[in-house]
Amino acid sequence: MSKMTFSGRKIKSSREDIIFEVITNILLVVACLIVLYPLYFIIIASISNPDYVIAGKLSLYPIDVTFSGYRKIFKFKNLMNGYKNSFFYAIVGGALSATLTLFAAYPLSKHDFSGRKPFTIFLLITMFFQGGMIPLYIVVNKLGLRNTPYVLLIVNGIQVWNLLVTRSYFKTNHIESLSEAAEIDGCSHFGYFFKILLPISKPIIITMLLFYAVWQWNDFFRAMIYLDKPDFQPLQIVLKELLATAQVSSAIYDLMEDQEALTEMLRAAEQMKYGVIVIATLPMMVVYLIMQEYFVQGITMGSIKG
Amino acid sequence: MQPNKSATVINGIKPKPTLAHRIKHRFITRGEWQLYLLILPVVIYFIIFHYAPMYGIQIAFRNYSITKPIMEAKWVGLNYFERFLKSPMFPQLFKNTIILSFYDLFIGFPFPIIFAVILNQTQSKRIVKFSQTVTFAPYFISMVVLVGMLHLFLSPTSGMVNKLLESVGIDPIYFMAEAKWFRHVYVFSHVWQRTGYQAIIYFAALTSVDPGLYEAATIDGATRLEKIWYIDLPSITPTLVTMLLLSVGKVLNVDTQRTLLMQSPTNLVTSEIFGTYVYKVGLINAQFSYSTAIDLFKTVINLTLLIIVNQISKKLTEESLW
Repeated sequence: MSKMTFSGRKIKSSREDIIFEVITNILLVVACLIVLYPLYFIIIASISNPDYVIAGKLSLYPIDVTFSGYRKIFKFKNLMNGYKNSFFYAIVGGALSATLTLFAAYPLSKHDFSGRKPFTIFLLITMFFQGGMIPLYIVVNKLGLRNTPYVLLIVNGIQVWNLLVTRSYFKTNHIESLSEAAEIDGCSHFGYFFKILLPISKPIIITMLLFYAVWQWNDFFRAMIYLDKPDFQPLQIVLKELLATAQVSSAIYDLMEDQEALTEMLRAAEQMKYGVIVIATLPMMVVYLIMQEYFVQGITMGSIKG
Repeated sequence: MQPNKSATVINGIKPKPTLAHRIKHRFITRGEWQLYLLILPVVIYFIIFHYAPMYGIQIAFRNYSITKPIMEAKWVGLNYFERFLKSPMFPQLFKNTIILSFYDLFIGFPFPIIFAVILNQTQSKRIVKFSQTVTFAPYFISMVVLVGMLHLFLSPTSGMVNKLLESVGIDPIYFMAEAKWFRHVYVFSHVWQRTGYQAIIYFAALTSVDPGLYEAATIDGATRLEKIWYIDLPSITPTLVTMLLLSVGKVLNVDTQRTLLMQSPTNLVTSEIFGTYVYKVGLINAQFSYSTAIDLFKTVINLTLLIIVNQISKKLTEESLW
């Protein structure tokens, strides 16, 4: 008797399971399409004849494929310079920030370190109370960092959140017991940190490098505040001038005498915009797809309290 | 094993170690100086780039100009605060910031939770993995590029959204210039960009739920929706509360950079917020003291809100940030 009701329920729930699976799958596919379509559109627009793009004819596949947009982009000196600068900031800045973060996170992860509590409080305070934009600007100015490439490597270079994530990684149990064993063996803190802890902490090292590098690559605000000269500008500032401005209004368009030249210019600019988005985002997308696990891990670790 | 120095000190009659002794013991014998050395660069960094600016906050109370040292600037007390509170900008900034922030919070909050629950309920591991990979991707697009994409897609002449509207007979809308559209575009583009990223945290909380709970619920005849309601949602509550607390603590800190990029001269009525105004007053108009006063006002309100909300949360749910 009881067996029958049990199996009866099982059939009911399995039908429910199927319905549920169908619904969730549909929802997920819709979510993926909402994310993917704009990205896909940008790619096909970057290699299509701009006339079709401007006329809104483009929808599912590229029309009249041309790479003239990309050819123009690669000749655009400011953009290429920004590209080069951003690689420098992402790699050098990422490495510098990650190194210092790892260094500081280790002492903070040691429960018997006499400075653990004061330093933790010292760092946490800055998460909730900041001097603000102008006082920081004054400090950077006084140090003579404005209009130097170092400013982007240093300012906001250490993020407390990343420190906490690294600390909680070092704190996980198997690592703590290892540290105790090393101490009994007469291993110094340096010896333990560099020879034992770092070699087994590859995931967090990579995660930190990636987080800082992606942040450096995508940040524009500090450059906008601290850099005036084009030489050191990162890619995002060049992009900002190209992309994030409202279009030429139609009033100005009508006023322009040489309409044909302007139309041609706008036409080329339109196609270039799509191409610029592709080449600016591609490096980060490649890094993301290869290193996805590390990003996910870093974010999940950050949500663990303590 | 090498002879331990501290052992000889402890041998014999044990004198009460003096402070100097204790410090020496910790620092030298136990090698703590190495730990201090490791953390030193970060401490120096924070002193220079976080604590020195805190010292600089006093320019909010002084008539400061960049050519003179801070201490030489004349003390004017709460002058700048008074000026700000009396200025017509204050109510506008306050309203815009609060509305944008809460709109963003309440629309943006449910999406990652719903998405994570759906992921967790999906049996096919391949679909779960694929959806996660896809939806996380926009997180890696820079704000500048995102706003650039908005300009392209929402353009009144060539953007695909307006072409779509046109095909159903609606006149083109200039989304990026009209004040009444700013908030919607801001909030929903933000949802597009961050839902997958934020869902990761909730999904991690869900996957750590004991599978025995689901089995027990199945035997008790619970439906899938009941399982979501009684197992999934309670298991992400701690994460949810922490995330909400952090968000409320940033209510007046709503994304300055994103807003600045999305501003146009015609949508300032709704898009001028505390952060963007601080930037313009301070760095464009070079009114350093006034800008700092507004900034400080904002920080203090944020901090107060955070403390209040944290206290309430402590009482109600026993979840708190500290």
